[in-house]
Amino acid sequence: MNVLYVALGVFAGIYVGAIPGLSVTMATSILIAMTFSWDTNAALALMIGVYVGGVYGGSRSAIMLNIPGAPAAVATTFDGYPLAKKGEAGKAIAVSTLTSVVGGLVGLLALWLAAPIVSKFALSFSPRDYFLLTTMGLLLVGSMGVSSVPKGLFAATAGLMLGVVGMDPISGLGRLTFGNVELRGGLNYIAIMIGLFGIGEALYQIRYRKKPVVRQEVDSIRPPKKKLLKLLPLSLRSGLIGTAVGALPGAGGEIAALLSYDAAKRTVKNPETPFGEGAYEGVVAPESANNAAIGGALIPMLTLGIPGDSVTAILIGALAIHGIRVGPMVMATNPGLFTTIVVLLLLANIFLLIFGMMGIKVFAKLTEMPRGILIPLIIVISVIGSFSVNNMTTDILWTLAFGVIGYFMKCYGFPVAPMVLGLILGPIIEVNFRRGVISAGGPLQMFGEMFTNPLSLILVAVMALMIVTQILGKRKKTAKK
Amino acid sequence: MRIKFKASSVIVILVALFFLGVSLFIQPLSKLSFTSDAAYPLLISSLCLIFAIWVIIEEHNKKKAANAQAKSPQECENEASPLPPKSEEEPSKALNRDVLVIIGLMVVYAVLLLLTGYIISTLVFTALAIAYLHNEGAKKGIKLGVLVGFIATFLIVLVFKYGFSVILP
Repeated sequence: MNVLYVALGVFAGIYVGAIPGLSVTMATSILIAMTFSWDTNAALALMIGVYVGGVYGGSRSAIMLNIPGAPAAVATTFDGYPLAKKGEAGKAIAVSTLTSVVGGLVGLLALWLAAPIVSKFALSFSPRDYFLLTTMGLLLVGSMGVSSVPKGLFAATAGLMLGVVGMDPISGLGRLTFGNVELRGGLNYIAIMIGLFGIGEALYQIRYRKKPVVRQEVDSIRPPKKKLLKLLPLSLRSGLIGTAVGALPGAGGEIAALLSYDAAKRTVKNPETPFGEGAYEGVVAPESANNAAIGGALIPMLTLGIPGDSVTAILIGALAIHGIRVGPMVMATNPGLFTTIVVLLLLANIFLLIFGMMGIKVFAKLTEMPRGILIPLIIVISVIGSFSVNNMTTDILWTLAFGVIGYFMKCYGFPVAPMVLGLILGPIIEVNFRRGVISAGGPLQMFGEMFTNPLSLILVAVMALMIVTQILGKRKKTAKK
Repeated sequence: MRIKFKASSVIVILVALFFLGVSLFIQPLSKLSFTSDAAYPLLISSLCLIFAIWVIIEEHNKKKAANAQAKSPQECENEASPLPPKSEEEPSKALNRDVLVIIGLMVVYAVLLLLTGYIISTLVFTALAIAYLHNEGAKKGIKLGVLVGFIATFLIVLVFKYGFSVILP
């Protein structure tokens, strides 16, 4: 029966993830209410199924409509959507399915083998290290297919400023709220993300609505074996990055996906198509990483009782309802729980392979709908999607407003992805910077610790390497031109 | 020499100045420290202003280079495409009539949503937007719009309200 629940969860999760605004977090929180009287294993089976299916499902709308179904699918839009524009949405979804499973299995293996080691490593991260890690995430602006560096940086800092709106994370005072009570909770980044990506793109497509629709090649959606074998090492590498980042509490699949995309861009020499223009490698890296992050996020949850992301936080609550307290003692008090979760995760990945490869043709054909019909439908789905996150009408207004802003940004060559990245990472960067300064006793002391602490030093070195390679890459491009 | 500024340049500067202005009012500057409420917004908004200025300089340089190229078209003939990326080449078309009509309909949609709720406003919006965008002639377009509007609204209500227990606005 539990196998059936995993299957049901994965199937439902794929469609929850594919609908913008419906998050895996929301679906699992609904499931707590539905399953609290169930057997623990049955409840876990359904939730883990939804978790795995939902993280993968976000890639479908990212590839077909340029709307990331979940924040973890933002990086998938960079190359997934250009592939759909070329008529290769079916193949892109198939590649994303296969590599999501590979990533999921890497995460599962890490959970099974390295849980205690990785969790100890994650615990050694101080606020200073989190500040460095998230700032490193922000440096990815240069890897997002940005044609103009200052425009990308301007968009990123504008996103960081939008992240300031709301209560101060340390003192609790309202900032940039203009006396508005609703703004005290901050701007809902999912509503803004849906507006910038979804409605912005829909409005942009209006200009090209009379152009013939690109026919999707769906006769043979399975990519050739040779190609898949070529992509496998990248998928494994991205899976490892995803697992490590997923194991850091609060980092989550979105940072994992972005870091893997950046790593792929730097390490893959001569892709068939350049990154940002429809490279399969640009779909493989984030999709492998965000699914691997699930296994990673479960490591600190099971071994330390610390959630790796919002879904694992809900899972901790769900387990508590069933009388299980996760943490260092869980292996002794509930020896079967760890094995159950590992087996459920394995089953979920097997079902993901089955359900993920189903319905691709129908999904891909959706993009062939005449633009005159598709554009209004994207707008109404975006509206209900943004509302469903917090059930707030104000979020709809933000979505529509940022849709218009996203359209003009696109027209004038300002990339929208750095703005979303700034908005997501801004609050994490700020809170860790301030905590780091407070714990070190001053900004200069914190700066000094960055070069004396081995972990921080590694992060600083990686950041420096990222900056240098970005500059060299740009110079190389200019020289080629 | 008279420098002509593009609308986008003026907007980025205004946005950056707005951010800097509101950051200055978060708390008195005398209370400013690295861990105070205003420090981070002030730092970010200052960076935003610097990047805005960089954007303007880059735009100006691009324009200058484009003008120089325009003066000697024969020299460019055999070179690789000197055109900027597609998204940057058509800013003048940003105020496209069709886009403005749909933005107008979105405003009507938002107002109707607040007044009549999701179902009616969505029906009206999809019907009007499809009728306008789907170039099938007024009568046919409205018929198609109403039909698609009904089906889409029905499916959305079914999935969100009954499937995921989302309360519709």
